[in-house]
Amino acid sequence: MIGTVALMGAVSRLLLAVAPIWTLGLTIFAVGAWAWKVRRDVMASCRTPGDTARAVDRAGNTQELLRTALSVEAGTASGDPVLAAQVLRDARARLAELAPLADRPFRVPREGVGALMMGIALCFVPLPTAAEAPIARGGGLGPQADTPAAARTTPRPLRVAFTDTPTAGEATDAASSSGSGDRASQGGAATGLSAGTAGSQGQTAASGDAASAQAEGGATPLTGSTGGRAREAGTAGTDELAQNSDGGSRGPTGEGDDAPEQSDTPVADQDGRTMQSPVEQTAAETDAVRSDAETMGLASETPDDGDAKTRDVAGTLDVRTDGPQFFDAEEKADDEQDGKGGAGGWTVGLSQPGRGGVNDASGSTWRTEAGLDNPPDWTDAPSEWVDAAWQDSPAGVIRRVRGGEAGGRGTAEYQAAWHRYAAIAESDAAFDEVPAGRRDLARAYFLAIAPSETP
Amino acid sequence: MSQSPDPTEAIVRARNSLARLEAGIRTVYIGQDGLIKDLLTGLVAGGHLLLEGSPGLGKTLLVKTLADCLGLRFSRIQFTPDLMPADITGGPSMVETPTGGTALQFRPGPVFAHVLLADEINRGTPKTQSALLEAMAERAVTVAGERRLLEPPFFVLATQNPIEMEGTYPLPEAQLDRFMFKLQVPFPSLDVLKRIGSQTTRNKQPTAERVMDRLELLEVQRLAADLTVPDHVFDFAGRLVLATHPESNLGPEVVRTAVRFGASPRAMQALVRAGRARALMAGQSRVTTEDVRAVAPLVLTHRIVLGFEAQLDRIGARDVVDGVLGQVTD
Repeated sequence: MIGTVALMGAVSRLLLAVAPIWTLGLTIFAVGAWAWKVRRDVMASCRTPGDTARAVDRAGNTQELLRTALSVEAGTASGDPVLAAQVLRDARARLAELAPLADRPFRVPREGVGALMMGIALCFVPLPTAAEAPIARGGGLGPQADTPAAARTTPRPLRVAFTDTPTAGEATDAASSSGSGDRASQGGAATGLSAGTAGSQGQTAASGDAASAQAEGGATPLTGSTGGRAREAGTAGTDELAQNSDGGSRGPTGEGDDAPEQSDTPVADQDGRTMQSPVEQTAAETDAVRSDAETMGLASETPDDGDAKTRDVAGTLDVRTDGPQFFDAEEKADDEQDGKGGAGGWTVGLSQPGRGGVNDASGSTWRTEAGLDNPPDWTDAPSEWVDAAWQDSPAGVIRRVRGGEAGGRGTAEYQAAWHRYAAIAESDAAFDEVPAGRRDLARAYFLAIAPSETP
Repeated sequence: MSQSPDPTEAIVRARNSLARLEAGIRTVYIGQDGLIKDLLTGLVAGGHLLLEGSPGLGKTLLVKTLADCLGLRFSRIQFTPDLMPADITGGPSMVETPTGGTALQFRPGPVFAHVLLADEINRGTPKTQSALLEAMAERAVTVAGERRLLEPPFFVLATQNPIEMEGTYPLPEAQLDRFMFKLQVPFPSLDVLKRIGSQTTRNKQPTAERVMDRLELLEVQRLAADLTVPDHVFDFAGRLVLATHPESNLGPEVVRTAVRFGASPRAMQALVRAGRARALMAGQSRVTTEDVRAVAPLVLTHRIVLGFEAQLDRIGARDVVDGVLGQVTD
């Protein structure tokens, strides 16, 4: 692809040298038109399973065996179940024979001029964006159900409270008390204050190193050098976030010993899922923080109440960098229209203050039960058996998820169950029957019962 | 035929039974292979058939031979303009009691049979034709306020003569819709005519033998209704029906110009049922779109009401159906 683009550039320069500019424009237009046609053909040739079955049936002269089997499997066929089962057996018996007939509807040329033109055409084919495939991304829920527990990204709400007199110790304590590199990176990335929180991929080694750096910094006030180490550790993150981390160390914690006395202690809730990084700041430093938030695309969500003692931007943070990706662009627009959340992303119920707040978009008030002012006691919560049938088990196997005495929400079984059911809830929430304004309830609920990092 | 625990084996047995039945009919009825197959398809599907053809083509012989081969109770009604409904359904009649008195007793009409031949049905008045409506649709007859069920199978085969229009009463659309198939009885070929001349003019003529009984036929009909019909076949049949309507954009242009009214939902039922029957006769356990396509002309032709423009342009219902079949793909 790179070679193709380079070749295109060379051809363009050559054309510019020997031909007037309109020739180049005409060439680009022609290539674009051709690419558009290729894209249209590709899209038109995409086959559904039914289309593929029809093509195979025709090629194999099966008298619609595969299509009938598909219908039987989908439960849309009519007739005696025994005969329907016979159809399935017949189809499976011939599957190996018929498989070669399921040729691809479109083959990408790999050599010659065709490959070159295809390369150009692919430049015009839009790739699925993150918002279009929320589940398929690393931070999504569905695929994680099949991944090892250690590799999963645990979604959690973010909460950062800015106070007037932040200290370095608070920030670092917050980082160290989180007990997880992933968690620390999220908190840092969200605030832009914690050093070395460049982990755009929460579970990457870079973020893990960043967490280590934070933990290291947690023993002492966060000095500039500590921030530097953290930046080194977190170099895998984006430049933008590196600037944020730089900004964090440049802030009130940058001077280490000169940092003012802490007036508030960082709080992470008992299971460590949420983290607050209270940092006392002056009004000017608050502006700097806001600037960081703007850099992260959060400015529109940051409450502009300069007189407030504590400023809570929780739930306004766009967690697209490393959190669960529950929403897509269309849904976010719906949320904005409904007054749920805003341009910065989706507001997480649990991360909101327990006393509720004012929605920026609609001005309406909202309230959540589980706020940080009244954090739920997850680990000591009474355990109970939860019986639930999982859909991949048609025989009705019941999976029991043990609660507190079996290790709480840190067990692999709980995590697996949580990911599965959260994915189901998320997919079902996309149905039109579920009002867009109510979808956040299910999401907030699953965030509230999200598994913890450790048993 | 006893019910087999293995439906696949039952299908094979049903196919063999139907093949024996077809062979039995052929011993008496010469030629018209396609007509015999269509007749058996309608029989297995449990539908009523309308045979249309010139006089002397053997329509009555075909129906009677079928009844003989099945060992079923056979009745024949020759429709005439003075035929009354009670002549079909039956009615109360005065009978002498054992004590010497008299009493009214219901006397079943010819409709109480398994195979009913309504010969030249278009010669009967609409009132008399309507007497068959309830029997054909509900397989029951109401006489003097009492509803009497007809013993299954109940199979109406009506014939009509297309060339004698004087003194006839064309069947109303509602009654036409109750016939699953409208079969055209073609004129035989030269070879068939020669065989007819050689085999039916001797003293000893072939007779039909019973090759299938009533319960066996009912089991075959039940088995046909159990065949697997996938969703795309329903979809195809539904689109076929919709395409016969001029307000639909699924059909060809000829539908919009020539058709006044398209096929009814009953046509959809008939397409699927006939498709099942055809698949069973072929020994298949599932119905394909090809089965539906094969029976579509038989099902749809008499259910399409053509407009005046069609008559001007000499467009027939079969032309419309052919256009629909060419337009609607599976």
